[in-house]
Amino acid sequence: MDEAELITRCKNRDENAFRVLIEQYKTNLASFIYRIVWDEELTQDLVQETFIKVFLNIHKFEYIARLKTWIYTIATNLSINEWRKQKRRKIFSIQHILQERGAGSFDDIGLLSHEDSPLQNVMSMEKSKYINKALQSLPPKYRIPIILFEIEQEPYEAIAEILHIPIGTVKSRIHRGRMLLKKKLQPYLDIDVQTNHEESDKAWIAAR
Amino acid sequence: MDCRTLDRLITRYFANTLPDRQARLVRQHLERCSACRGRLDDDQRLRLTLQDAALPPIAVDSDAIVTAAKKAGVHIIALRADKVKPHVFPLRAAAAVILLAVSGLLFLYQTVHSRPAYIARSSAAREKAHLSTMHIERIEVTRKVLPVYEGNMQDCSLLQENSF
Repeated sequence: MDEAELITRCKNRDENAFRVLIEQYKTNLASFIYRIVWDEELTQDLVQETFIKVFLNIHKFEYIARLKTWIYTIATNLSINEWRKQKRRKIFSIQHILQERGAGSFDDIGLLSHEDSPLQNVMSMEKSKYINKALQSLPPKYRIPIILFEIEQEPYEAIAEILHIPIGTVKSRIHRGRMLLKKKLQPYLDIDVQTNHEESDKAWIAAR
Repeated sequence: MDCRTLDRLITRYFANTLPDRQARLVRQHLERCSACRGRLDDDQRLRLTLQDAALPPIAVDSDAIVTAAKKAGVHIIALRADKVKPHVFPLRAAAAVILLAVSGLLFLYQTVHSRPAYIARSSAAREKAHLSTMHIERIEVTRKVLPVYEGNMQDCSLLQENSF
């Protein structure tokens, strides 16, 4: 089912089409929202709320925008609002504290490869935690464009549309966000530098 | 091409949306400028690092979302078959034949029972009709005879009076 047909069927209130839409977007949407609010339960609620808003307003959707851009706009607005509320309340659940300490969040659900050695798994888990923490430490005005550009691979135009800011601002925020992240992730990036530079050089020589 | 121009064009270069001439200029610049090449390598490394960072699993239940949407007032039309399934067609054809046969039988039954009374009546019905005819005839005879009878009775009473 292509996007146009999916939208038409959703506008006709077809339950099958709604389910296809949920399946198509739920995983990436959950990761995206989680990287804004950093709370699993809240992420689940926000994913649900995003889809409900999508279904309630699907008749207003016009084909000038991509469906993904429209869904992510709704999700971003909801997530930022929720993040602001959380910040105001300054309430941190035990779950949140455990997450910050990294207690048992990544293991035994298949995120870590069972083919790797325990040491490699632990290193991979530690690395993921470190990277996520660095990303989490960025202010949302840099973090959200970085997530959309680097992880979701959205073009500048789509990010500008999602965040309701000019393209120039998107570019400068991504640039600034990259600089901040590179500084924070320098130890991990340096480890990869030696191997990747060699590969990169080989690739460039081969390209010539 | 200078480094600033490359910065402006690099995203479109990687998205393969640059015209051939500009794409060639970008390639030429990257071949001779190690600073830009290093910067792009760093960006690529950062991108891969961010993409590879695992997140805790977040379970998203599609059924729960559909149920919640219905509760929130989203009008959703229940599951419907996209196409007629192959085994459904013979069943539908059989149902149509049965329906036609039943309609035919009903039509015949109605036709037989709506024929003229003298053809279709059973013996009991005929007898009943005969009796009712006799009854009507009797009433008519009574109507004709009674005035005569009453007249006679009056005559009789006159006779009796005269005899005194």
